[in-house]
Amino acid sequence: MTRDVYILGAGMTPFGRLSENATSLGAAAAGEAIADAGIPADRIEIAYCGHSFQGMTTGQRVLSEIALNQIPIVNVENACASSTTGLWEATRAIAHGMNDVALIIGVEKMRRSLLPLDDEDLEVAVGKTIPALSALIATRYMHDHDVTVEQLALVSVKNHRNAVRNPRAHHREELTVEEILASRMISTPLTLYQICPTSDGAAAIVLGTEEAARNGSAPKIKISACVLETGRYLGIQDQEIPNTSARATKLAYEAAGIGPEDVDLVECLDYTTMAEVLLYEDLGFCPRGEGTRFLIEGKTEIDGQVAFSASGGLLAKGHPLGATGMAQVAEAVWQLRGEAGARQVPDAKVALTHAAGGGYITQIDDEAAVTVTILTR
Amino acid sequence: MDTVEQVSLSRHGTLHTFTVVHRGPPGIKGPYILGSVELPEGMRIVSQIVDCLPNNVRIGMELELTIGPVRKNPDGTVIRGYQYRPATEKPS
Repeated sequence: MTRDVYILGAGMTPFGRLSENATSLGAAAAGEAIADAGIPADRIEIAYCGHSFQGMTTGQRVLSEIALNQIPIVNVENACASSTTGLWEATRAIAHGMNDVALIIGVEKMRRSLLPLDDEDLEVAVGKTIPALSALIATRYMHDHDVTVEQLALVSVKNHRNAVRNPRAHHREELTVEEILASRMISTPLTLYQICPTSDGAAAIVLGTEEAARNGSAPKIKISACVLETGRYLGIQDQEIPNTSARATKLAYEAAGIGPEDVDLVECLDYTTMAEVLLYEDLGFCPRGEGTRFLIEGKTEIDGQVAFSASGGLLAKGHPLGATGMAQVAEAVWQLRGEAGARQVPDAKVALTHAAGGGYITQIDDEAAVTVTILTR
Repeated sequence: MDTVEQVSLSRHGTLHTFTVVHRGPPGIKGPYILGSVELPEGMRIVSQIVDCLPNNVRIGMELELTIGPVRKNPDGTVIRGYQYRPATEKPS
């Protein structure tokens, strides 16, 4: 018999090119999440810190800053799914009665360059980059499904429009299809504004039992499912085979006892325009090949069937790797509480967050680590 | 646990998809063509596509294996590795 797990509080720094160091950013987000939870800080029994590039024991540095270093602190690395892997661990610890309250922080200061990959990987050694990986998928997808790059760019138009309404987003300006396609070519057919920026930032979540949630001040949000899946060896990347994101999402729907028709909003790993279109399909909202039609029909707008990237997503809100997962969950919390202001999804009851990382590794089907979390109020 | 075994791959393949990389990683100057090459053994390998202009690269084109300079290390050493180029002869 496991216990229900609730989100008690959320915090997030603005994302962007910031002057503060990782320690300060992490501490700011953690402090906001604890204050939002409205519980004494000494009720937190364990903390997880997700990051990919901040060096040794970042979590301990961050929590020393706010004098919360008397508890076990675990640093977690799983690429873009780092902090959500921490959430997965914390959810299990609370569900199984090992802890009552946990803190999860995600933090990253990004280099102003292409994401550095490990060239021990043979395909990376010969020139595979993260944008190139998505570009390879895009070229084939456009060929197979008669889709244009103008249609893909509409994802970036939507996400930038949403980010204008998010004070914590990195790029808060509307862009036209023409501006997006005229930006610098990175890897055909993907131009700069079809790829997420390198942003700094941090976000944090306080998690607890129902009893802890009753003692807090914030409206409680339930974690109905939290899944971690690992990419499997296939030898080929075949879009017809259910990939890691699709498998993780199916498991999450089963655990929560819901289906895609019940989901009001999704925060996903839209690291490129192509990535978000594929996720409309992989997360079960439309059949393979119909993602751009789903988009063009307005289904993924804030007032559509399912709001994708209401926060602006990675494309416009920004993508500090370790912080992204907790920022996605924070957005879901604010939306479910009705606190999302000008970008509020009407009457949001069910949110899904999807983070995926390590997709560059040769010969796994798509992503190395995928987390899917379903939150309900 | 699946059984894993090593097999020799053929030297010919067809281009499953490609991209012209304008922004390469350190040591590889863009633009260069990167392709996913489908081999008869049922796997795909990501490789640089050489001896082909970006405007002429097409999904489905026949390719053959070659060896050439794939990158330059920070110390200036040129690293040679596998590449594919448009097929000059039919696979035997």
